[in-house]
Amino acid sequence: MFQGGYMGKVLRVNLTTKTVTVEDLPEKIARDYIGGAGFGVKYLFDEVPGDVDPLGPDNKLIFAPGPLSGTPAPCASRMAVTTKSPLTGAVGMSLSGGYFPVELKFAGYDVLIIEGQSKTPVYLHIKDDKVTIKNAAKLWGMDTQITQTIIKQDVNDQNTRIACIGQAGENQSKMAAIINERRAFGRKGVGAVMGSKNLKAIAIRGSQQVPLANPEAFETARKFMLGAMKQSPVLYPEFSKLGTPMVVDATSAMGIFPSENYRNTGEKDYSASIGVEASISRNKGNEHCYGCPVGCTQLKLAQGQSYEGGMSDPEYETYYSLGSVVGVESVDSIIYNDMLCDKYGLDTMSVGVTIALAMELFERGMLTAADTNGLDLRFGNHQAVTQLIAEIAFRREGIGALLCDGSRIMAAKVGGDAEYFAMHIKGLELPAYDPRGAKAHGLNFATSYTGADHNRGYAFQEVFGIPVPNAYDRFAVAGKGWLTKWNQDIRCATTDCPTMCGFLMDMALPAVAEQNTADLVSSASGIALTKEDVGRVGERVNNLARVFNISAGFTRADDTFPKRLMEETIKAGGSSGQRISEADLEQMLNEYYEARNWSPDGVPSREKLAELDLPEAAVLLAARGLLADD
Amino acid sequence: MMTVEITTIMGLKALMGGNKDQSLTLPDGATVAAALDQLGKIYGPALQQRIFNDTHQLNPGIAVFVNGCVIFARLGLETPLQDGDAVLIFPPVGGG
Repeated sequence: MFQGGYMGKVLRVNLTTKTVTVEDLPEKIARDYIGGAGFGVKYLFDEVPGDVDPLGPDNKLIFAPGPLSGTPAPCASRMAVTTKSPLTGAVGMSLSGGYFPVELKFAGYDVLIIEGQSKTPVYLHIKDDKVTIKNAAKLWGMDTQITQTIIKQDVNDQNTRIACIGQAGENQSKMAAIINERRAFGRKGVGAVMGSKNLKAIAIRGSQQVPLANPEAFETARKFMLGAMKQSPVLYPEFSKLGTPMVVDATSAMGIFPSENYRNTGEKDYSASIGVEASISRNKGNEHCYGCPVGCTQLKLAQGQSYEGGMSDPEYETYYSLGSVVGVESVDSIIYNDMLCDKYGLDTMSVGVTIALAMELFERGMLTAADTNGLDLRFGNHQAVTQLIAEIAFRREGIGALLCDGSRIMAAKVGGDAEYFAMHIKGLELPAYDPRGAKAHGLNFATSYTGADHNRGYAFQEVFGIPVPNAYDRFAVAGKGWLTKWNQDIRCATTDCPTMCGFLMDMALPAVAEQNTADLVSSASGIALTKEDVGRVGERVNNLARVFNISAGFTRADDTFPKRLMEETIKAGGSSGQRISEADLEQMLNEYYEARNWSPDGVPSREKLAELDLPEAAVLLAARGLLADD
Repeated sequence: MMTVEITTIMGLKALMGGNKDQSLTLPDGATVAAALDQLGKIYGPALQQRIFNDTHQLNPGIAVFVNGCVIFARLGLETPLQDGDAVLIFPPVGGG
């Protein structure tokens, strides 16, 4: 029985049998994994075989907020969805914010597991302990915004919180997202998994409160956190007014803002056209997630004839994916195209990088107008980007079908040298940082359990120069294996599992994040955690996810970079002369595996798995003859 | 004498006459601290107070990179500069 923080219940919905069951959340799982991504990875490992078909009935969708979600802790309305990704074949874990995450807690649940596959379109309605699988036939074909409007009418409750898929998810694009209001579980094709289950939406309304085990200690921890936020040099003075788009200016000045499919990073300054000064001129206000005093989301209204009326909130990554990486210098087209991706339910990042690949292949003559339905796919053609987003969402014959499953599959379909130009790792398209100019940030892309994912181990030491735990030369190779492990474990333990906003931890609490997490989670739940316990949670989740990926067939050879980044040197700008050689990669990987106590093949050792109390992972590896020290 | 290339962004750019990029001439052997002091003399107390605290250390969140490397990984404000060095000065930045 939990004293607080946790509601103590796991809601399981089987769409094949149309059964709904409620289970107790084991206290050991709460203690060992905290919540969020930790719960997701644990349940995925225990219940889904590594070789499962991601779009088949045996894959599961595991939604989990954290123990702080719904409490007065600031910035904790986050939720992880975990599944086997159809885009990567690895663990697919994606986090979203907004108001949907806390509503699951208010309805009385810590985890929602969706399994099976409905024969016809349905949506799930959760109203406290009343859980109904409803017919969604009339919703099929609708975009994410209309779907949310109609469901609110359908359940006669405008305060119901909804996560849903758009047409991209219905058509099982491997870049499909799950959208909740203006937020997204964006990456790794989680929307395609939902579409494969014929699940259009999840609508939740709860009426309960999240109890606190020790309200006095919780208030002390909360005040400490709010104080740290006030003292942050970034959070209120800059971030609440500018949001993530300000990073365009920073990474442009460092020469790591990738452009034109990475063929000319640093050669053109995109900050002049799509940097913070240009984008702030379109601001119409900001938005907050539940319980967040910062409100970093910048709502923008497009101007000009082509994109007039387009309204959205593009984040930093989208200025890259629908901007520089496709050679686009129009802020208005970025706003409009971001809106389209949200509407259809697509990951802006993977979509943009996949379009960039198509543009490069078009300019090189590897795709022709016959392949592109007549579209002129030269870099910079933002109208073509607008058109392609719809082609992808509806999986239209020709160019839509070619692009809709991401860059890796597209390159395989085109053949020849196309894979050289496909900017993905493990199938996940690269985020907005050229790894050649930020080596630990890059090594995180190469080793993250979800593929090229900046949020699994953000190297703020390199990108913002923050000297925690130490200062690092971003171009150096030595030391980056250790640093990457540190970043991945602390990020997982202090943001992904307690489901705390990552921005907050980076900007306000980098030096004390583990202690802050321990204090908040302990006082909320009554489970006594030290900062060392919290750190081990991060390491445990990263190791368990690694073993899942090994069971899915991944090896050391998959911890790598796109060939282009290892053969071509950045020619201009703040990272001129940088590349990552094969020897650099080998050195960083060797150091990273050693820091993790993994074998040279990247397999966790029996000793490490025992230390982290992961006997189930050791059993799996031993059964396959993969335990390095056997 | 030597010349270094200064780059800055956002709020600091506004405090440096709106110049994102500029050349700065310094005595041979000058350090990062000397470069920042000289910029303070050129652009006045608003810039000085934005960069330095009362004990002449960098304010929290200010980061300086020399040829791409953050000075905290070298000798901090005492990092020596050489002719042609690229000096990037960040105001507090975050997100992404």
